[in-house]
Amino acid sequence: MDFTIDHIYAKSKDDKEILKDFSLHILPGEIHVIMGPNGTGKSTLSKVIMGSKDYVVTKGDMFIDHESILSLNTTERSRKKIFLAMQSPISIEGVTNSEFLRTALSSQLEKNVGIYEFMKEMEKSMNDLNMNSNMMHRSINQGFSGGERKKNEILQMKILKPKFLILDELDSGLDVDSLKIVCDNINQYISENPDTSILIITHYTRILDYIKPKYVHIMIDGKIMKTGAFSLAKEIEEKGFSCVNEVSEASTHE
Amino acid sequence: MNKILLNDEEKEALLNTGKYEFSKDGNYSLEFENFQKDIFLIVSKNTHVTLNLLGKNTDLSIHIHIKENAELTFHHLLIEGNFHLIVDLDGIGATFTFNYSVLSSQSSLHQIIVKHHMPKTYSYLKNHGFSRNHANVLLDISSYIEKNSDQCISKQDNQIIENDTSMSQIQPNLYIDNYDTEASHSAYLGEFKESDLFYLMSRGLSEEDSKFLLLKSFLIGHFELNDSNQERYYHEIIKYFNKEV
Repeated sequence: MDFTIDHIYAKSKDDKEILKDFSLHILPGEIHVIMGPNGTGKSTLSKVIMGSKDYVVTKGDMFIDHESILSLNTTERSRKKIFLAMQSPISIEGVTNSEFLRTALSSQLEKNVGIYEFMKEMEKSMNDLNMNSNMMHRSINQGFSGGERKKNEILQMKILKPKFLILDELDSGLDVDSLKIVCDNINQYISENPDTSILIITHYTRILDYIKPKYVHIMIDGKIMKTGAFSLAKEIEEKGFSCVNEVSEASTHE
Repeated sequence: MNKILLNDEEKEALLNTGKYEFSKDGNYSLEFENFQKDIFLIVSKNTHVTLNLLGKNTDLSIHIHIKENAELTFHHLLIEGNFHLIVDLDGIGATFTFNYSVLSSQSSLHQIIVKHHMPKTYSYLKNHGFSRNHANVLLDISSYIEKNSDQCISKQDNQIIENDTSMSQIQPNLYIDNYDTEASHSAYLGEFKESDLFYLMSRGLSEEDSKFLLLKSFLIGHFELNDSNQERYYHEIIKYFNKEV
């Protein structure tokens, strides 16, 4: 999927401008990473892409396969196959994982998904993620550990089959073994769906040991300040964000 | 249709006299529709009871006495109507857990009073109201701990979700006349959280379907029902909103 952000400005409900002239272009099958210090607007970016009502886009546009998505609500963006694996997935008591996911899949496919085929796929996906199959009958994320919640996000990804995947701080809350399992599943998904575009938002390079990006962008104060190859992430890891003093205009490959 | 899952003798006793004493451990289910009644219940010493009550268009007034070391877990879903409950924790170690949900499209009063008469008694009240069509729902919740009732625990968690603007109110009251007590209350009145809606919609659910799932969670998510009761209660909620399964 081709995804473009074109000179976006976005502010929060309390009128604070967070994204400032932000641009990005991800071609089908490309993996991009956004790194940056706390409070620089990385998670805001993911929510703005997903159409959160907490933010208002005041200028600029966003495109999926050259079609503007700015006027679409969150549901419609999801049905355009954008998926956000959230940093802090919520829990909902009394709604089971299977009920929620089957409803979501039926909504996306605009047809009622048969329970047998759904359960079969869910069981297989949970097995791939080394999740206990009784979790499908438990309330959404209720009593789940941080790692289980992250695995549950990737379970949803596997079932809903997005074409543009945003991973917001996926590695937080995951131990080494779980991170490997989750990343193996994402890599498997990419190999089966090679046109899938991915945007990884992270503080650390740990996840990049498993999922190799084509571009690394450094985001500071609401805009991309520097773009480079994977080696840029390693440089940030060694020297910190303070080494970013070279201002490049948005993404260099734009 | 008034369905009471007690045996015939028990059913007759409750309907005729409005009184019943739970003297055996067990799980009891009651259903009332278009019904008004004053009901008087006793949970005998050392008895552990779960009571599931589904009311539709009912105005019930229930007075319960819970005796020494007895335990009552009470789940009540009310679809339209008013409710008045008084619970007396009469014996040392008496325990009362109340999970209440009301769906209301008309102004309604829900008054819950719990009295800790004895030491080491426990109450936890979770009261959820959903107001639609601008209905004013009043949750008037009071917990009393008397002077000699040491080491009691009394908790309240009260919430009203408004589908439209209304003058709904929560009045959480704690009347405590004892220093050796643990007590707390919380109250929330407003709409569903934007972050919850965003999460569900980000998976492709429409806003309407997302709200309905959240509503289901809000109304019966805190009930500990078996599968058949869970389905039964959910079916009634779906019917109320004329939604297709």
